[in-house]
Amino acid sequence: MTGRGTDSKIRLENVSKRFRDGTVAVDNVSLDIQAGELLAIVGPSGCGKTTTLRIVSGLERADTGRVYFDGVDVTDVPAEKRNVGVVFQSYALFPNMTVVENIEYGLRIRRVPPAQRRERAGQLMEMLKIAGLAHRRPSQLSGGQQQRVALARALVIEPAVLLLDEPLTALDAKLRDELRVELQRVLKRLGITALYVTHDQAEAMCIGDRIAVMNQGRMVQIDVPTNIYRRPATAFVAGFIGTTNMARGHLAAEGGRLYVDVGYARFPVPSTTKGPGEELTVLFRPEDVSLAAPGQEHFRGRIENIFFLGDKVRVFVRTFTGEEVIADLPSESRVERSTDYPFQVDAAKLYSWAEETA
Amino acid sequence: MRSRRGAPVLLYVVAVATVAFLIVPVIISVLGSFAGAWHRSLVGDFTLEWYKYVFDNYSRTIGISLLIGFLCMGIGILIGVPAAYAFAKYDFPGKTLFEQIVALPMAIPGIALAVAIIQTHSHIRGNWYFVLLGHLVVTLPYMVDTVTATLRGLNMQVYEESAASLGASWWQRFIHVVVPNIRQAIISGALMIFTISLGEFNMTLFLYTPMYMTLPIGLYESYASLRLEIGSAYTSIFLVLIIPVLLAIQYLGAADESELKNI
Repeated sequence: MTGRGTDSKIRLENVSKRFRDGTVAVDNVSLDIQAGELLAIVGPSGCGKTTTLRIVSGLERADTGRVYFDGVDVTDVPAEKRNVGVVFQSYALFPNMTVVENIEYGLRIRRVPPAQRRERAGQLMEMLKIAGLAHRRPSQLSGGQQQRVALARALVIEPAVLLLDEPLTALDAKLRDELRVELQRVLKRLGITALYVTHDQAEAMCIGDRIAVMNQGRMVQIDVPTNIYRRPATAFVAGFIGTTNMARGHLAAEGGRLYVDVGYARFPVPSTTKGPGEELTVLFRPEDVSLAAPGQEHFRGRIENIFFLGDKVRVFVRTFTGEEVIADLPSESRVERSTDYPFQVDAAKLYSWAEETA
Repeated sequence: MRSRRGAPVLLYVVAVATVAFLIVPVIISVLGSFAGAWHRSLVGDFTLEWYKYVFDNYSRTIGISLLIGFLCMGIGILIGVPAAYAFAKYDFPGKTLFEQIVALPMAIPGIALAVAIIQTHSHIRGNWYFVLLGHLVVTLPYMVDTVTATLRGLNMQVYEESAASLGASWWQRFIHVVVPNIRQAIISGALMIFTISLGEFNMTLFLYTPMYMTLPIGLYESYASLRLEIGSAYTSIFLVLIIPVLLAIQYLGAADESELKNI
């Protein structure tokens, strides 16, 4: 079977995994990761993303389907023979070893001579700014430091693919934001192929060259971040990635143009194959909504809540039909609670599905 | 105010009395072992005669007890650690039952165990390793218990997976990652085995033959012949062997706790 999927570094073909209690963890997933690509798998907890990562690592066996590394079928190859680097959510640094011993462990197993081991571990520790911690024990490190050590330990073996399982989840928010950027830079600098699993869509957007959205064991959409955000394949993706306003109504033609009447507003229709009388869902993001000049509005609504977020003001608007619309207004906007305002939606940003799947 | 002050004083008195209650007989026994004549004087008439007597007549029992104690420790490590690892890591049919059976000898009276062992292994009765067999039955559960508990508390699986991803084979994972992280439990299990084996009397009384008498049996014999001063010297030798081990167990227990606090 060698030679199949030679164009991609990592390939999953129709992989399924059922747990012993009968629940389906991974349901017929196929996936390609190109050399040097960072693919982020994102989805709610229990969606099968960690199991997918474990199947790539070899720590878990797929019930059906095949796994290829560089076109070679590795489905039956155990983890220790796959040359994968794994960064675990809990870091899993060996408590009985110092930082440098942890990092050198993979090289020790590969019988790399001590001088070379030290040199390669030293380079990575330098790059990840942990050179000063070499002789500490994992229990003496902060969460952020442990994360760096875990990353160095996984990178030092020059793995075919780096697998990161929620690597930043255990850290506090500010550190997470900093490390996210640094991690992305380091991985890009090394040109490494990586699979990054997270439940945090913002993290996935930042890290991933492409994003794979998973739900209930299935791959829902695999695409570049802008497409995931602007052209979500299903209502699930639209709701999971960022904040989305979704409205449903009947199509109507007027003056040669199509509109969708969602009750509180009549929106011009993005390209659709449907005709008047049929139902359509339209999506728009909070930042696509703005205050309108009188007479230009798509709808009016009463502002119920205002959240000042620094770079913007997020308002929750109640329309006269009782629907809630979330809008992000410029941070200098002077709006007041319990007051009616006219709003418009950037027509170019309205999105709808040609075929509705969900 | 009086009652507030009174309570700690009272507690202190109770504590001192309890300690005295436990330690005074031991002290008297140790002092008596150096006394020329029992009852007459405890310290005035210093002699090492009784120690000489014990070494002349019972040194073989000390050697046998130490040998059996060390063998129990070694075999306990070789069998107990893998068994504990299997119990902590794998699910297999009848696992709970197995675990309970392994722990059973801790609850069964020594006499009953002795009878059961004699009935089962009567063909090897009279060999020195017959006593060893009995001691293994009563000591092994302590190793399995201690190591299983530590393994369950450590979530070893993620460390092993981590080592596997770095290329370590099953054996390398076990030696590099599992064993070093349960080292303390193994050592304290081994020391516990040693103290229990060294002091085992109930069951050994039924298993031993005069050729292969252990220390506690010899001690019993010396007391039974109403030579209290010899028994005292004998007891003191026993204490010298056992107290360092007990202290080591205490020390390891304390180290274990402080390590847990760091996690």
